[in-house]
Amino acid sequence: MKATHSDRRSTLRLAGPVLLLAMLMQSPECPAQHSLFKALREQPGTERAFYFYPSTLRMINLTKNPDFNELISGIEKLVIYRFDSAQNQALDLNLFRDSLFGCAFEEWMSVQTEDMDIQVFGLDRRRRSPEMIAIVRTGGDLMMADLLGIINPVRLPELIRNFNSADYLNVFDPEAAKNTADGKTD
Amino acid sequence: MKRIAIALIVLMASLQAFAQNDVISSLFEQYNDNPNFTKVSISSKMFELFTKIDASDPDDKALLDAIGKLKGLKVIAADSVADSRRVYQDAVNRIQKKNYSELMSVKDGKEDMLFMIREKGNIIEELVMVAGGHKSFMVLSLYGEIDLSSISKLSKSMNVKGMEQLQKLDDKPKKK
Repeated sequence: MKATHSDRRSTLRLAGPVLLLAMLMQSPECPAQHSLFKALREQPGTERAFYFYPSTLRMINLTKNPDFNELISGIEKLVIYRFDSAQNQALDLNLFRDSLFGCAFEEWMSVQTEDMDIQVFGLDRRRRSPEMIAIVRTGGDLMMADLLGIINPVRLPELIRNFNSADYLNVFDPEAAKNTADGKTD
Repeated sequence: MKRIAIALIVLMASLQAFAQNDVISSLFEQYNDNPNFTKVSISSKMFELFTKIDASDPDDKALLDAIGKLKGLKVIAADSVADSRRVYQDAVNRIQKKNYSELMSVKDGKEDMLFMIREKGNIIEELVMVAGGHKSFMVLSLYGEIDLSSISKLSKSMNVKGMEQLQKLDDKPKKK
């Protein structure tokens, strides 16, 4: 049965808003997401924010383990935020998650154990590097990570099996990092 | 009318997909709210991401290709379960009543493991591992397009306790 002239006009009327909605959902820039982390950085109680780039990530690898360098080879930028307990309790994570969904992020991974809760949200953009945001709760501590790029999983099982914390610079503990740099071990 | 028919077909297809693994979903739902259980869920988007990685090593490329075809991974596990043997047997009985074929079983006195697959044509759509020990219990479901020859490589990359048993599949004589 052929579509009538009025059917085609109805379809065209509907197409406009649908296309507009599709364009908004595919918007490459999402101001809300950037302002989320900006607001987090400016909150009193954001204990520390750590910025990593390919060169600084390689510097953490004290033994120059090639598997670790391969793991991080696809990462363009990694920012880690640590929150103190007061801000941890004040932070509305549900609102943060809703904002991520509003920016077209999807939940890609979740891990829940007795004392740890990890959620990873991802955004795969066609002509740009993918981005992942992880929310990590361990006990009363809260940490978030914003990763631009990809982690290469091929060597990950080997790295986990052979992991030795002394092989990596502990940037989260300045005292331990200094001891490592000075050649002191536990 | 045509749009309604297409919508109905899409809806029925999605319901069909859900029905095929409803026994696994019901197992996860049963323990989902139990804080003593570890729950892991990885979506197809995470696996698809790895197809963007350039690998020069042919083995690495083959592994990444195999990972890229996965649609999801779900694990539910506990180290201390009351009556773990009964819980294990209950899970096995429920899964065996559905459209799964046994791939391999391992019994070593300390822990029982059963690996089952769900096939469609020549494609393995789902690999299920159920393990039960003295106090431990685990169900793992890996779904997507799984090649039997790549299961051994995938099991190595998963780094999940028990999955290393699948590497023995490489030692089994291939079916003609």
